[in-house]
Amino acid sequence: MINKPDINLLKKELPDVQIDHEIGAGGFKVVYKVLIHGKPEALKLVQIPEDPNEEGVKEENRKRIYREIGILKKCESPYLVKLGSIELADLLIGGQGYVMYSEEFLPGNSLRQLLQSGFKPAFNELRGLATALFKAVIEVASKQVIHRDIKPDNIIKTGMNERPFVLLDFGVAFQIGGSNLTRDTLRVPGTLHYIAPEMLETGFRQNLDYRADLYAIGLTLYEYASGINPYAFRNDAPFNTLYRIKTTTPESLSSKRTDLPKEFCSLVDDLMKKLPALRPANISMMIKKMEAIS
Amino acid sequence: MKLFAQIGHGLGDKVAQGLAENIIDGAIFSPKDLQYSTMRSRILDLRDQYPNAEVLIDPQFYLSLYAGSPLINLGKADEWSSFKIYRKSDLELMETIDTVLNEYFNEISAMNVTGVIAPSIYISQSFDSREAVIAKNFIRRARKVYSGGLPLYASLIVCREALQDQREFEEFLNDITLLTHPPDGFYVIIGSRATEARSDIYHADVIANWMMLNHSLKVNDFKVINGYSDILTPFLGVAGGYAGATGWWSNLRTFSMDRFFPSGGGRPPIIRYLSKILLNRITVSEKDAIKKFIPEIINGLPHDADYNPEPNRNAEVLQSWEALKSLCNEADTLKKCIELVESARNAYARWDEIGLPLDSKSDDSHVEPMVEGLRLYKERSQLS
Repeated sequence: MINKPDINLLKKELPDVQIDHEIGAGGFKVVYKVLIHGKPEALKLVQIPEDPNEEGVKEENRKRIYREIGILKKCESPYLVKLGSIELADLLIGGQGYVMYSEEFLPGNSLRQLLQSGFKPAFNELRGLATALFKAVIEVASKQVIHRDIKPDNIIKTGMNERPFVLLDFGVAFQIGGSNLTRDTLRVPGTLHYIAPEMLETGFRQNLDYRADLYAIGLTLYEYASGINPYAFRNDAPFNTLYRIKTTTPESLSSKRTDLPKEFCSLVDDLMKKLPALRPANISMMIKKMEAIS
Repeated sequence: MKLFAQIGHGLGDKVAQGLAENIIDGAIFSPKDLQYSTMRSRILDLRDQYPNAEVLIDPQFYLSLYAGSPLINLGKADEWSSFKIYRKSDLELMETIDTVLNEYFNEISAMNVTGVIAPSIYISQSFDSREAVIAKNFIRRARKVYSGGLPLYASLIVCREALQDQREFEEFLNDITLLTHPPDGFYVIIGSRATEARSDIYHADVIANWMMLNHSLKVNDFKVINGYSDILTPFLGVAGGYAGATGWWSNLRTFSMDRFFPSGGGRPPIIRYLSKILLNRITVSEKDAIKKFIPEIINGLPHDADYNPEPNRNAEVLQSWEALKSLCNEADTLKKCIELVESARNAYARWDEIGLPLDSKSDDSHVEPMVEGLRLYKERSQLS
């Protein structure tokens, strides 16, 4: 984040909130672990994108963030992060405008942290992860929203039985029929190594649907299972990565994890197909198939 | 892969015999070729005698947009009260589409079919056309309008040229695989410019994308019934298709709108023998001339016995169905399909060495498009 707020000024603006420490930052946002009346929550500050050449863009984007957080408020899936006690509000710190809100603070580790520790999940855990993510996407898609940033960094393994995995971060979520995050139509939102191939097409917003999230689920499962993101190469130029995303087919997951059921590996491979029409899109059916794998 | 009879005029008892011998699994009736009442009674008979047979009717609503032409031969299609002449501009309205669907579904409910194929129009040029938008709306609305309990198949009837524009084809595929109210399956017909234009269908892009269409629909849990798929039926089955169909006239083996316009006349087509190893039909004299040099030309199936001497049209189609059914059973993987085409290539090479001349329809012009079509299908569908 370019204009991160001064922590002391922030504390002054929010006297009832005890800011513990920063737990993450992205292009437009910063996240802190905070205590509110002794209860931990994740406080998010989102910087509203603006276009110096065009008046009104900032306000339009601000409204968009409000609208999408409003939609998430209606989501009931246990596999999606829940909003916290701080309602959406505008905040001005050091002359910079932000939108602020809080989410529940989830215990556990992100899948990224687990990958970095060299952890290799067993099939039952992978099945649980797939099911949780499928159910999260069903809920999000039913609100005509596409998450667009499903990746190991945004999934917490909580250790809770009823919600073992929770999907975070709707910062680049896309409302079908809504406006863009910025007016720069050439900018592709999301994280480079997890961008669905169709998002690299010109005018992709016209045709984008929840199958972009299914692609990212496939890639996340592949990486979590094998420890390898087939598109992430050390010191690689972004153009090369994008080229590979568009053109190369990863080796089947079954070649990386011979111990996993073939049907599971095949489903993961199918989810990562370049063309959305080649990905299975009937999520309820996929959950059933997943449950039937022994 | 199931094999259905594609029914045209001259039904006779071929279909009943094919069902009795288990070399076909069902039939697709054509309103143009049978009177409404005759069709109804024939369907009742088939269902009565062969309760496991799948019986469908191709609504042939695609004739509607051509029905104003003075040359069109609608046959008995306009005996259906739901069959009316429309213009494209009429069908751009969703309420007209709902009316067409509703009237057709009401009328077909009197037929004892096992599944309902919804009407649609023919996409005659491109997936980026008014026709394609109308066809998509028929697909989108079919489930919404149909209230019966039978499996519902949306129609996708498209010219082979449309399959050659990869980008438009893929965009269309993206659209029809994500429907709010999905049907149970699709009835797919790929149209050629002329029934006799072999190279229209035996074209690498057409084969690859027809297979890819089956694969994509299957991945998305749709059942795909391919009309007029003839010798490509086994390949479409490997790609995920549920059934294919073929019949006794060349215009029941390859779909073309010229079937509905006056032909130039001429003598009836020569009786042919479908050789599994050649993946093609050859004349009886060619078969008899070559079999002592390349015995594998002969399928070794029961209906081979009908070819001594030359059989009638009934026996010809039974032999075709028998050979195709056998090919469908053998070709259970893409690798096996590739091997079958390689065998065809080798058999033709041996024929070439012997130096016996071949009729233009009997030659190997389908082999290279098949080789390339299978390769492209594998590549485009990202199969390992």
